[in-house]
Amino acid sequence: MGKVSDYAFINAKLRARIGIIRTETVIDDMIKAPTLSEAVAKLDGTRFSALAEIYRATGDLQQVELALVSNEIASYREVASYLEDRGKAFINVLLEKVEIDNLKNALRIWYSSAIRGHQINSRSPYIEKRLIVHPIDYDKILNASSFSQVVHSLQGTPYHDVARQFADKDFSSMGLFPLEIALDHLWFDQLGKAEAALSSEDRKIASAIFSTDVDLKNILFIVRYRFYYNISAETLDRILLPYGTIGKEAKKLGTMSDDEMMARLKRIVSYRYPEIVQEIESIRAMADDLTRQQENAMQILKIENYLARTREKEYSRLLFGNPFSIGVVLAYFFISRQQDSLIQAVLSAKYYNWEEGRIREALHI
Amino acid sequence: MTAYAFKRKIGLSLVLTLVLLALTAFIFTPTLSAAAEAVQQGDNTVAWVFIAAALAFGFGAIGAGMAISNVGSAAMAAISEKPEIATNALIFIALAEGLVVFGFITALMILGKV
Repeated sequence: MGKVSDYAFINAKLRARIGIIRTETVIDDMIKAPTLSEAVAKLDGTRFSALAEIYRATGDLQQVELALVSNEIASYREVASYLEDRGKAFINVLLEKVEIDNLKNALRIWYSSAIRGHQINSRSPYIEKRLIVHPIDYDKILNASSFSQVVHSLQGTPYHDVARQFADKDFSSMGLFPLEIALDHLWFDQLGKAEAALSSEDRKIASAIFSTDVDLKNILFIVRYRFYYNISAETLDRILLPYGTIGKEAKKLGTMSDDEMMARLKRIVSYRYPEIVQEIESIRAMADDLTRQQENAMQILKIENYLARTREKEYSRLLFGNPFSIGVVLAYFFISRQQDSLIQAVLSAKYYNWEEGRIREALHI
Repeated sequence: MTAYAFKRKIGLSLVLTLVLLALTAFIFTPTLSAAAEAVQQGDNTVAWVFIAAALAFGFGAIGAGMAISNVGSAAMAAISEKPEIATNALIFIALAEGLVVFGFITALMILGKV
């Protein structure tokens, strides 16, 4: 089977679907709606009409969010079912990201309950407990009284080994962040392996887009954690993802002084993402000035927005590339996830009674 | 479509195919017997002409089949998501279908030389 026969059916389906999932007018109407229930009503007659029904039946926005996650899982499974083995394995790794995010949510709830002693009854129903990729007993995690029980409940999954490394750590002082980062690292490792198994053209496309993704993540890690929160170089070295242009130098960056790191980062960033060099410099300059923390936080937001736009451009460009490649599939998942996030964000904003102008400003619409 | 209606359609298509085959045989019988005579007299050129006609039609049909399998499945996939593009999608299927028509015409032209 050639590339054309592998991708003709699924890519034609997804390209046609991309045309109908772009919901700019629906989002616009939702933002203009005066109340949450009127905003939800705007979803009737669209592909999100099931969400409107769920909201009307439960009056619970978090149920709507859970339904969006279920839709996302179903969409990964559908696409995988139309691909040949290597493509299927790759999509399964993408689905693992949804599972890891779900697992992180479960771990956060466990943390609230077991470490902080909070009541979690109201939060536990909002975890997707059905099988995503690996069999995980989420109820056992949520009800675990110690982290070793959490580790035990992850047996038989790739997350078990990662969690085991944290078995004797004191979560009350370090929080869940290191564990979450370790799970992200695991996912990028799996992604690298699945990428290597793809055909040469698909591999080229996937590796280019994910290396941009990793670069953008690493830039944010350095800016946010090193320059803003001032974490140690050693901790930064553990956080940085060892892929992409920046990741390849992670070890070196971990041993550099702030000024050296700034100079190196500037050189990398000015080549690929020139628009943010100035913002990064000003964050570095203001880092030690406590009176300018808010200004600094705004600069980080600016960088985040720029990186999000860059990511969007990169994914949209995939649609203009080879129509018989994994590019269309990746672009579809990105656009679909982006639409879901927009719907979710507008609904949350309406729930908190945000005004139209404020929503538009926050979402850059 | 009920199972009965489906079976009736299949039956009808089979009958039509047989009728078409009989008609083709009837039309080409004189040519075929002339060709058989020529071959018996040791003239192999006619045999090559028939082989050329068969190849022109056969490869045209195989090419069209391969093209339609891809274009058709892509068209069906797109139509299932967006029914309003059915007309456009069918045009692409027809373009692929054109290959077999070209093969058929070429075969007829070759046979006309006999």
